Amino acid sequence: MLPTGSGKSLCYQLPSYILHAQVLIVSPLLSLMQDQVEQIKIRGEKKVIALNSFLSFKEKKQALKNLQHYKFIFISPEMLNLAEISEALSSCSIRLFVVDEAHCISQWGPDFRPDYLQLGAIKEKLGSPVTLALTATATVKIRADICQSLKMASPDEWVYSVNRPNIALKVEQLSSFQEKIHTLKQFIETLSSPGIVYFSSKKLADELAEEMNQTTAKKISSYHAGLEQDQRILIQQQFLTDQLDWIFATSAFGMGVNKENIRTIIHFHLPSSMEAFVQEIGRAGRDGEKSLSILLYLSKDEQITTNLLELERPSLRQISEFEKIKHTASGLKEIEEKTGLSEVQNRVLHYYAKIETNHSNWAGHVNQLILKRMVEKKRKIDQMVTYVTTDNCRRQLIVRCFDETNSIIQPFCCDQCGFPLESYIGSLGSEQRKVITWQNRLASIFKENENDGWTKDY
Amino acid sequence: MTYLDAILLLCFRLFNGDRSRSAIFHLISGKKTSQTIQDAHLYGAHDFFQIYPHLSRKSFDQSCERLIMNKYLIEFQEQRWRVSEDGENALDAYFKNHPFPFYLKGWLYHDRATIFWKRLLLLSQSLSNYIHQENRFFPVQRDPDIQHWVKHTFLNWKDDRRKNTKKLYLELTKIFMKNKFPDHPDYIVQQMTGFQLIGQTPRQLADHFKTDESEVHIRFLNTLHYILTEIQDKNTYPILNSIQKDITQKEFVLTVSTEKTLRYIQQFYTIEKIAQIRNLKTSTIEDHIIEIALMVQTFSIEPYVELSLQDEIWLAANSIRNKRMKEIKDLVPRASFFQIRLVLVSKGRTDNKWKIPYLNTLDSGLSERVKKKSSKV
Repeated sequence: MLPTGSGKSLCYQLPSYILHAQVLIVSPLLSLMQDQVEQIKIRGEKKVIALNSFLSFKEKKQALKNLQHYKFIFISPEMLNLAEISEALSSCSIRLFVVDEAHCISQWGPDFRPDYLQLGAIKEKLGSPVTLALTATATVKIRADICQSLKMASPDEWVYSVNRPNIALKVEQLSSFQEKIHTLKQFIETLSSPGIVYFSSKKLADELAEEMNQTTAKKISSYHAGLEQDQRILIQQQFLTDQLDWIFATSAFGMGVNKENIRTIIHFHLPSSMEAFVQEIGRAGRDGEKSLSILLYLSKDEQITTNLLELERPSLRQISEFEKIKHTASGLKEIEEKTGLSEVQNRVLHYYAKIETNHSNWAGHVNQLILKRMVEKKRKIDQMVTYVTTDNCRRQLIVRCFDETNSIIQPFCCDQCGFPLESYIGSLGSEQRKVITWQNRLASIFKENENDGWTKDY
Repeated sequence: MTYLDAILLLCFRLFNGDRSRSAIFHLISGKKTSQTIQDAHLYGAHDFFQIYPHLSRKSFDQSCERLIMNKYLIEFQEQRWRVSEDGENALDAYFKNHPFPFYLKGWLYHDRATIFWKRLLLLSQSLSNYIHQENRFFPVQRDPDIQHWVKHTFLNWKDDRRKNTKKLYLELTKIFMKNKFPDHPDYIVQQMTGFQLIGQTPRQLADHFKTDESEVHIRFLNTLHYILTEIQDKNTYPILNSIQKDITQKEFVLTVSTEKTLRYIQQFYTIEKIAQIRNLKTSTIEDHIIEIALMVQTFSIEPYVELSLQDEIWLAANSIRNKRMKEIKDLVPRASFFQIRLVLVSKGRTDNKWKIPYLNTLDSGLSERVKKKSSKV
């Protein structure tokens, strides 16, 4: 278990070259997978492929035919189920089996992915290669789950502290929504950027980004899964090249974004778990420089997060409907349309349909199981409420959540221990950027005009 | 009114209540069904085909609701809408302050424009990094076909890379500087990516120009289609032309069955003979011929309606309102209904009808004023 940005991918890339071994990497998020592939390609390695639903039929066929020639094979967990894939994989000699974001395996984790549960069986089918499970956040309980699911008997565990000493922690309690927006605006204008503001609503991220981009001197754009891929790539690249000061994002942004100099992470809404929170603030300060996390909290904010969770839960009626049509429906899409289930809900129910058999009242039983998970998730939210309302050191509270017992005393710790916010004020003026004329831009792209000065402005 | 609202009014005006709202949604989002494609041609709306490929049904409905609420559309029959007097006025007022998209050729260019644009973006980014001596960068296009084409071109150019980069720059500059260039080059250039200079998204451009994304998109598309038309001159624009010369596009799309009928027609079979061979009713074959006459501009209907009869029917059709077939038949009793339909679809194609009311603004300098107004950077 390593914090984000500390070089987890090196742990399988280096051995692959030393051992001349073919590596299979299971990765849960499509966008993350694309980013990982791009990052390997950019250092000159071409023998890398991502097997996911983005591939066209033709590309997939081509890739599967040549699978043994790839050094790094990234795959999404649901793809591993397909017969043609496991057939193609059996023609390879996978010597290193990597499970990225391994906490998705745990039913108790916030990002539970049912497909991850079969990874143990798949590993055995591949001849039990050396297995590496990677995660940035996992409690002792989740780590035990990972070992059990992946059938790792006595693994070597490398656990690093979740504590990131260079990130100061602050919670800002507010009394109204208006005040929250006002405070956010002040922070945007004064605190060091580049930075990310996390929202749980796409719409709010869009609206506030547009508003503050117009009314402040900062360059701000929103980023979420609702944007088209072309736009997502541009915004991500603008952020990486420091053409943007702030990104207003949903949790879709961040994984796989390797940017060292992110200075500030602000949460506009309460994250759904301590795991998610630690992952998100962990994107700050990878260069080791002083960075800041601020969580904006309005009393009863946890209600929003809980409501979102409730929306995620399929109703008993939907579960029964699913049970009725699952055998006759032609595909996942049809089930989703007829029952109104989301893609994730559908996947969860399919999982339960597979493992929870022999119940006279299947729907009722599964509903109970899902309710039990809800209770667990609400407990996670309560943990975040405790983080917000505690009178003690927030850093201490975070490490306790991950079962670490070391006591930490450090400067620039948290607002409970006290630190001067002034030392996180960003420089003004240098952030100002003008948009260059099309003539200059075109010349700059094609290096046609050596006129000094304006290229640096941008 | 947003630009999308204005475009929708133009479409409602063309369909004149003959088709449902959904038909317009399918047209501009670019649904490739024979119904949509035939409608597009019959009503002279094919230039709007797929001009908003990413439009969600929700945004479309919101836009319609806005038009209805402002009484720009009136429901004269259930679910049938026409542009009202207020709507006409609002539309005229709107295009006095916003450039009219004269160069849109949705049906002709929809595929070609997308591929050309993606290739141009990635090729420029690659060349830019190359001449800045950077050989590592994150491509702004991930589509493997686009990447493959750019890689191939880049390798092909070998020793000519510098020379061709310069040429590409000069060709782009030349086209942007043309007097006739329809809008501000920002809509193209600010979206382009170079070495350490990442392109702006349409939303960011909308923010910058203080307008809505639907306007940015159409102004971009209008200039892109203009560019595609211009660069067909491969002597003046050899590099730009080469970016799209291999993109083939079907000129027309026929249903499978109609396609079969067409092949028999090309071998001079009669309607009755084709019906017999294909074991179909003659009326079905006639429907196919109507579809062909509509979609294939070069298709001659003379074998089915002699010229003098064509004129007679057309004259009769224009003498009565609504072009109702029964009334035409009364005036020209010797024509069959099939012949009347055939003349109506082949002569009745009203290409360019949508832009005729605005042609006077094209060269009056107004578009120039609109250009200037929005180009304060």
